[in-house]
Amino acid sequence: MLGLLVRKTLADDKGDRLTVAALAEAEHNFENILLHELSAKYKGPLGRWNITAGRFIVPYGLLKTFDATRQLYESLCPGTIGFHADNGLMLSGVLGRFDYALSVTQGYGAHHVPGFPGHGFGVARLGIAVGETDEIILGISGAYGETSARHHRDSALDRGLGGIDATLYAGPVLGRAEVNAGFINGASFGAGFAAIEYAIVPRLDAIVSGTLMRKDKEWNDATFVGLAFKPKWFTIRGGYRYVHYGEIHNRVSFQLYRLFSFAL
Amino acid sequence: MTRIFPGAKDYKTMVVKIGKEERGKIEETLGWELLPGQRETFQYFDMLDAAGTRIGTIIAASQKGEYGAIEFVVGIDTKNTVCGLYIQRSRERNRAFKERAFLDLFVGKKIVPLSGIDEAYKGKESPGTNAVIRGLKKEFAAYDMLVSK
Repeated sequence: MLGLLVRKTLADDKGDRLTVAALAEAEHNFENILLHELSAKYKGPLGRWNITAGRFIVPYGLLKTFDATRQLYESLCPGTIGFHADNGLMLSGVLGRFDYALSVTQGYGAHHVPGFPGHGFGVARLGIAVGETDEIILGISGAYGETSARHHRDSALDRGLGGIDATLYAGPVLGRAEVNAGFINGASFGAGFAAIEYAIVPRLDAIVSGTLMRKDKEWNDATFVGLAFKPKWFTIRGGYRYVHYGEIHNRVSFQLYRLFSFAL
Repeated sequence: MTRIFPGAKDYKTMVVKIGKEERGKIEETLGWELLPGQRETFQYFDMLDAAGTRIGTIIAASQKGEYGAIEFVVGIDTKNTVCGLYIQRSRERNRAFKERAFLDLFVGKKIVPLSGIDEAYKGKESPGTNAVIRGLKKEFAAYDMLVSK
């Protein structure tokens, strides 16, 4: 996988006004090129309100602050809202310790070719940061509308979901958790996710994560245990993934990751 | 940002390229090499009032700690005096450097000479306290060289 992120901020006399961003990645041995983000954000004073148009990360649950796309474990978004990024409009901002986001998108996700007007999918999230250094972040989210089925853009699934999420920074411990409930395509749905990263020694983290989902009477799960080693120039992640409710129960995976950044 | 500048109405992102000669002077002042990722550009935020007049500067910095980057935010007023400092993210086990008693030692100090930052803390050293002091000196040396002069 190879990714490219480009970001440019434009300002007027009274501050930053417009940020344009694009994030594309070549995946699966360069067979797929996926455009994760292509958006323009107009920023209000001090970011109390911002309007984003284009393709952006949907502000549901932990996705607002954490995207597991490049991790060896999965978060809940493929099961809950069905995708991590979508095309549309978003109003978001920060008010003191609170942050909020409201988005109206097409419901196609990032893997389908865009069309117009789309199915129609709305998401809202309200978050609060707690503690002297904002070490606890809590959020409540809701989503309602239609999204594309996984392999058929024009085949729509109804979704109505609510969830709470939490992120904890506690010294060597970084914890994330999310719980959701609602319905998908008329069937009841429930899902939970938790992940902990623990700094064992300098440059070495232990990672444990788990997901559990139930849609109607069907269960899905995944448990991951791994390590992340961070020498000076890159990150190596590796681990073991166990799935109880699935055909492939065991998987061992490794990842070599390097981030380059340049200012032009 | 408004925790340090409650009167601010907006901010502007400023990015200054660091030339080879400037980098050399900054490193000579510090006595050590800048880390990769710190060598090409210097970013800070001009804090603005309702009229768009600059009322100070925010620098969101990070410095290598024992368990990864320690991210902190420091505010400088228009007279180049530190007016606020807080830690944003860190995974250090020893958390003494996060206490206000330590951080407030730097508030009221001029950003240069850097010896004023060195002399502010005479307590027990830890990777966290060393990283904050080193990080402040790095940011102030760059700001003084690239912005103030």
